[in-house]
Formats: sequence, C-alpha cells, structure tokens
Amino acid sequence: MTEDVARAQRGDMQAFERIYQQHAGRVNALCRRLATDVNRADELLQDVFVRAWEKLQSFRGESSLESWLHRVTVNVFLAAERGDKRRRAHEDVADDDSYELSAITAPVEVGDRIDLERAIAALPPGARMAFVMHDIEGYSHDEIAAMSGIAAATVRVQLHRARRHLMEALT
Amino acid sequence: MNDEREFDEAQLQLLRDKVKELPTEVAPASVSWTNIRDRIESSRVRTLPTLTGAAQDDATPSETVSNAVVESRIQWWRKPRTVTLIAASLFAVVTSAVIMRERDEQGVVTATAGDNGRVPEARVSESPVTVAEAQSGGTVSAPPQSARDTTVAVPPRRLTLPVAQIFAQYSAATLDLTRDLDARRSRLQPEALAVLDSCLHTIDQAIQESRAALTDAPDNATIIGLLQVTYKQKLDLLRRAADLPTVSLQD
Repeated sequence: MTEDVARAQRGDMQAFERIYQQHAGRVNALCRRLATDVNRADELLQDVFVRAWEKLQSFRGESSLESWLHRVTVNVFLAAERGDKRRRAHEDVADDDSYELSAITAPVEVGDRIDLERAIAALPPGARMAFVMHDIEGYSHDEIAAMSGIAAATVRVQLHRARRHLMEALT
Repeated sequence: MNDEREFDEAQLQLLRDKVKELPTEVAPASVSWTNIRDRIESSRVRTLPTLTGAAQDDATPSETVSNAVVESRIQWWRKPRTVTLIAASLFAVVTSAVIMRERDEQGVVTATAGDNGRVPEARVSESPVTVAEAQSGGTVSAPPQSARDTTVAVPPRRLTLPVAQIFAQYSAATLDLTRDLDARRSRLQPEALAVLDSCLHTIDQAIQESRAALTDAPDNATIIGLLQVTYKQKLDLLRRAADLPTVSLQD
C-alpha cells in the first residue's frame, strides 16, 4: 500500500488528490465507455472518486489500487443504472434481452476509432459493461462477476451479445 | 465453452484490432477534481467544537491537519457518526416494543428467541395459541395442550411472497456490507466497534422479532412496515460503518 493511500485513509485530502491525478485518466477512460455520453461520464467519474474517498478504508492493498478503483467504478455505474432503470421501469440491467440497433443508423467506418466508441455507447448497459471490462480492460469473466455481483455466466452472455452487435456494426 | 468459436475469426480479429487502438487514458475535465473535492468537503462539514491551541499543537507537523484528523481527536462518543449509531439502536428498541405491542393486541404468543436461539417459556394469551417462528436451528413453543408450554422443534412457517421478497432483497444488500465490515474489524477502533456491534445486535433482534411476528400475522401492515424500516436502518448503519475510524495503519 502506498504512502499516499495510507495518508488518504487517515483523511489527508492532498494525498487523495495525488491519487486522483495518478489514476483519473484510466478511470475516466472507463467511465467514458460505460456511460453513454460525456456529461454522464463526467458525473460518473466524480461519483467514483467521491465513493472511493468514502470507501477507501476498505482498501486493504491485496489488489492494485487501479483494480480497486475499477471495481468502485463498476459498482457506481451499475447502481446508477439500477436507479435509472427503476425510474424508467425497464427490465433488469444484467439480464436485459431487448436491444435495438436504431441508435446506429449506418455501419461504422472500418478503422474509425471514434465510431467504435459510439458503437460501444449504443450497447445496452449490461453488454456494454461486460465488453468494456473484458475486451478493453482485460478482466476475466470471474473477475467481472466478482466486481459487479453479476453471475459469470451472465457476463459471458452479455459479452457474446456485445461482440455480436459490435462486429455487425463494424461490417 | 469457447464463445469466440461462434464468430467469424476475421471479424473478431478486426474488433480486437479496433479495441487496441482505443486510448487507455482519457484526461478528465479540468473542473472534475474541484467538484470532487467540494463534494467530499461538504459531506465532512460538521459542527465541531472549538479547537484549543493544545489540540492544534498536537498535530504532527509533517501531516496536513484535515477535518478528518481534527475530528478523530474528538471524544468518540460525541462524534456525529456515533450519535447516528446510537440513534439507530434506540430506533430498533422502539421498533421492538411496537412489535411486542402489536402481537399482544393480536393475541399471539409473545415468544422471543434468545441469543442461543431457544425460545423461553412463552406467555399464553387469552386467545388460541399460535406457533411462532424461531430462528433456524432454534425451537419454538408449540400449541400447548395445557397451560404449561413445552418447547419443541418445528419447521419455520412459510412467509407470504412479498415479505419473503423483502427478506431476500435486504439480506443480499446487508451481506456484502457485513463482509466488508468483518474484513475491517481488526483495524477498527475498539470503542467505535463496540458501539457498532451493540447497535447491530439490537437491530438484529428487532428484525428477528418482526419476522417471528409476521409468521402469525403475515398481512399486518404495521409489522411489515416496521420490518422494512428496520432493515433500512441496518443498511444505513453498515454503510456508515465504512467511515468508522481505524487504528494505526502502519505495519
């Protein structure tokens, strides 16, 4: 455990700011891909670090701080999605079957990184989370399941669904 | 099962190549840290007693004296978090009293499981005695044939579906928080931990009594409402427990 983490756990805000400066770029990249637009991503980033401050005492150094921050990000994201879902009265985030490609009106250009980002943003929340965490961030199905509280089998299904839609969008 | 086998390899490789081109970092907006800091500071604003010069001199010169450090020097029983814990515990006691009164008014056996799960001799009401649910592995008072109660082991009565859903939802929510707390126990300040455990014990007893009461009166809206509120109190307590002060983190 780094000295900054230990100091931040004791309430040192300057130490926590150094942690933020060190990890914000990676966390923000994850937030951008989990959220559907820049404004929501910015809100998610702030929620993540506020939550990280609140829960920093629970970090025991058994994993890397980056992995721990990713776990916090996933949890904050899923909690926000569940809140939105309750307001929209839609089906469960982890098990949603409905998906419309209407958000993608034309095949994305091959070689266009930005369009892949858009295609990812158009995925349903569960599929998006599974794809981002597995294929982009490199976590295993079991690690994603442990982070999110979603069954590993469901993560596999969501990942498969995401890949299928993204490959259709890329061709 | 290899999910990738179902996909065209060329398409899958194309997707992988596109993913590799994605940036690993994205700079956040310049105002993000300011907003984060302000939110943290606003949540830490409390009515603190005036610091004496002695308290300030005690601060380690090499450390930044933040609000949290200052707060930790306040006697633990005066801290807002501790007050909240005690308030939650008192609420659970009141809840328990209401539960007991509800059951008495309905004329059910007011049997309460003790810490060891065994139900002591119950008070028999004027109306026909009903069986109260005990903790798993415990015993309950069976419908007595005479005025003298006997304790026998009976299976728990099945609860109505809405109440069972309440149990499932809150049980799942508290389980994760309880695991976090258990993992931190050895690092928490003993005084704060003692207050927390006492509050949790009181709340758990209130939950047990509510659940036992519902087996005899599954449609009692008062008891159902109290159970929900008590569960929420437990969740709130466990969440606040994450902020309890710890002992030194130095190895």
